[in-house]
Amino acid sequence: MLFNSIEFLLFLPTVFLLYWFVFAGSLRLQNVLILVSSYVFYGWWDYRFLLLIFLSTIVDYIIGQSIDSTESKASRRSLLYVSMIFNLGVLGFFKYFNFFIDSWVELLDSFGYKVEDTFTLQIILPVGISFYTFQTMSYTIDVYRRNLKPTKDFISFASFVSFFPQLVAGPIERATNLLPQILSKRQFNSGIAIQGLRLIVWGMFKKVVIADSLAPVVDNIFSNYHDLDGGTLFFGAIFFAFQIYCDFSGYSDIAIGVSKLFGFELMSNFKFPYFSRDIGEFWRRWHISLSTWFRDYLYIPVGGSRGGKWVSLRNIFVIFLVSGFWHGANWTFIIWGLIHALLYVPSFILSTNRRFVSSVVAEKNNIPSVRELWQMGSNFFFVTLAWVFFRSESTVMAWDYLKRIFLDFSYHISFKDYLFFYILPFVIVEWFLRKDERLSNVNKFVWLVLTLVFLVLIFAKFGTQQSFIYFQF
Amino acid sequence: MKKFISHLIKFYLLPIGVVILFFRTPWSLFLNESKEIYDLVSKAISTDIKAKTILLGDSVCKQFYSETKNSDTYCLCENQSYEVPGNYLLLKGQIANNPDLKRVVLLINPVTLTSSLNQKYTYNYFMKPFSPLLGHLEHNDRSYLNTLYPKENILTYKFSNFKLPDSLTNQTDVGNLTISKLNMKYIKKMDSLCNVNNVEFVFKSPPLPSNMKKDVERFDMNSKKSLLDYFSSIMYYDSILSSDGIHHKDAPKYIMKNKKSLDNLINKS
Repeated sequence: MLFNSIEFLLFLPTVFLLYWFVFAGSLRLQNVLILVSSYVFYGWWDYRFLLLIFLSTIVDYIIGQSIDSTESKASRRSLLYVSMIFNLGVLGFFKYFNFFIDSWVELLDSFGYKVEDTFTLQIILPVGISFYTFQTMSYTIDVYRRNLKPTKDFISFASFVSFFPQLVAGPIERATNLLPQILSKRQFNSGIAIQGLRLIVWGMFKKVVIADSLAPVVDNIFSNYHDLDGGTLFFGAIFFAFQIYCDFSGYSDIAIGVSKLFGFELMSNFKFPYFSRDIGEFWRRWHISLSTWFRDYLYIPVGGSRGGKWVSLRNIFVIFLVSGFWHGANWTFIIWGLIHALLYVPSFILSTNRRFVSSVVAEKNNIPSVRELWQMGSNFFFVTLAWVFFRSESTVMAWDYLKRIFLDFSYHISFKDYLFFYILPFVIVEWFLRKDERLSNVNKFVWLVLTLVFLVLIFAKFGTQQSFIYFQF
Repeated sequence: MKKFISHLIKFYLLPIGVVILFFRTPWSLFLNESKEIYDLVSKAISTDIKAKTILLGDSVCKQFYSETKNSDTYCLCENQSYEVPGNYLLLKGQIANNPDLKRVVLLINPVTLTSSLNQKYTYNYFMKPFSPLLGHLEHNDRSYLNTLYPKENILTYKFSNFKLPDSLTNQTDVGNLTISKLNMKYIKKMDSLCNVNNVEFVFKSPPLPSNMKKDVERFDMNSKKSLLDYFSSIMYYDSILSSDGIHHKDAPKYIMKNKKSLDNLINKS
C-alpha cells in the first residue's frame, strides 16, 4: 500500500480509530492491531513476501532469546553469525544474486573466458527488504552487545520488525529506540499527534507535488540525454537531486508523522541536507538512519578512526562503498559511494570533517553569508554530479552524461518552468524551516495558510500513484 | 483527544472542504493543464460566436488557423486529444447556439483517427472538460468510457492530471493503421448532424510534414476507401520545417507563403 493512495486514506483513519477508541485499554491488543495492520499494509503489495518477514522475525526472535540465555562468548558469537548469515543471505539472494553472477561472467570475459550459459534467476525484489533486514539485525547485534534485553513478547517483537509506517522505506529504526516504546503503554498526546499531521501533509506535498512533478522531466532528460545539450543535462541532474530528496524525505516525514499519531517517536531521517556546507555535514543530514546504522554496526566495529589515519581512510572507503552497494546491485551505486568517499577524504585528512556537527547554516540570520552560500553551492554541485551515477542505468551512461554536461554546455535550458515554479519556491520554504525538521515551531496560522496551498497543489497534482523511489532498495 | 479532533477539523478537514469547493470554481483552472479545453467548451456552448464557418480540429489546425477569427470564419481548435467525439460535442454546442452557422470544417491528423479516446491524456483533456456534454454521446460509448475510466476510481481522478498507463496507449511503429470505429462513427454523426441542420460539412487533414507520409501509407485499404477525399487531399511540406514531426517550426512564415493553399483547404468542399 502506498502512502499516496486512496487505500491508505481509508486504512489510516480506520486503524487510528480502532487503536485509540476500541483497543486503547489493552497494550497487548494495540500491539496485535499494529502487527495485523502492518501485515495488511505490506501484504497489499504482495502477500507472498509476508512469509519472508515472518521468517526473519522468527529467526531473530529465537536467536535473540538464545544469545541472552547463554554466557559462553563463543556460543553468543556463533548465534550472532547465524543471524547475520540468515539476514544477509536473504538480502543477498533477493537483491544481489544476479548481480554477482553477471559480474563474475564479465570478469571471466575480460580474461578471455567465454561463458555461454549463465544461471540467473527471475527474482522479484521484495519491497523494503533492505530496510527491515537491517532493522532486525540491529536488534540481534544490540542483544549480543548487551545493549538491549531481548523481549519474550513475540507480538511486540513482530510489531517492531514490521511496524507499518516505516516498514518499506525507513527510517531504519534501532531496537533500542522503538522496541521499548512498543513494550510500554502509550498515552494519546494531542500536541504530538498534531505535529504528526503537519509532517504527513508536508511529506505528501514533497512527494506528490515536487517529486512526482519532476519525475517525468527527469525520465525524459535521462532517457534522451544523447540528444540534449549540456545545460539541459545539468538541470536534469538538479531536478533529480530534488526529485529523490522530496521522494525519500517525503516518505520519511509521512512515516514519522503517522507514527506520532499512534504515540511513537521515530528518529529523524533528513535534516535539510542540501543546506549542508560540506560533505561531512551532508551525511549527517541525509538518510541519517542508514548512515548512523553503518557508523554503529560497521564503521566502529572495523576500527572507526581509532587505528590511525590509514586504517581510518580504509574504513571510510569501506563504509561509503558498502553504503552505495546497499542501494542496489549495480556498479553505478558503488561508484556513487566511491565519489562520496573521495569527496569526504580531503576534509578528513585536514580534520575539518566535523566543523559543522551541531550548527545550522546561518543560524542567527535570515540569509546566509557569501562564504556560507559558496560552501552550500559547491557542496550541492558535487552532490548533484554524483547523483548522475545514482540515476543512470550504467556507468557508461553516467560518464557520457557527465561528459556532455562539461563538453557540450550551452545556456539554452529546457524545462525552466520546473526550476522557477517548483524548486525555487520549495527551497525558500525549506530555508525558513531549516532549524525545525519536525515543524514544531511553525506558527499555527502560518501553517494553516501553507496547508491550504499544499492541499490545493496536492489535489491538483494527485494523479497516477507513483511509487516511492526507495521502495526498490 | 478532543483538542486533537478540534484541531483536525479546523486545520485539516475544513481546509480540505475549502479546497474541494475551490476546485468547483473556474479559478481552480489556472492549475489545470487542460484549461484551454475548458475555455473551448465554454465558447462552443455560448452564443458569443456568430461566424458562418467554424473550424474544428487539432493543434496543427490551431497553428495554421488560430488567427482566423472574424465574422465569417472562427477557429475552434485546440488539440487532438478529444478526437472526433469531442469535436462532435463542440459541433452540437454550436448548432444549438449559433444560428448563423452554414459551414463546418473538421481538420484532424489521420493518425489521431486510430485512437479511441484511450490516449494518455484523454481523461484530463476530454473526460473532465467535456463532462457537461458527455450525455450527448451514444449510450454504448458512454458505457465504454465508464469502463475505461471506472467510477470507483473517480475520486482519484477527480482533481488530478490523471494519465492512462502507457501500456494502453502506446502505438507500434509497424503494421497497418486503421481508423477506429469510434472516430469513424462520429465522423458520420457529424456529417448527418450537419445535413439535418442544413450546414455544409467538410472533413480534411491539416498540412502535414512529409515524414508522416509513411504513416499515411500504413492505413489499410478499408480506411482509405471510406475516406477517399480525406486521404487524397492531404497537403505535405518538407519535414525539415517541422519541429517535432507533427507541428510546423515557423507557422506564421508558412501561412504567409502558402495563404492561398491554406484558404483553399478550408474553402473548397
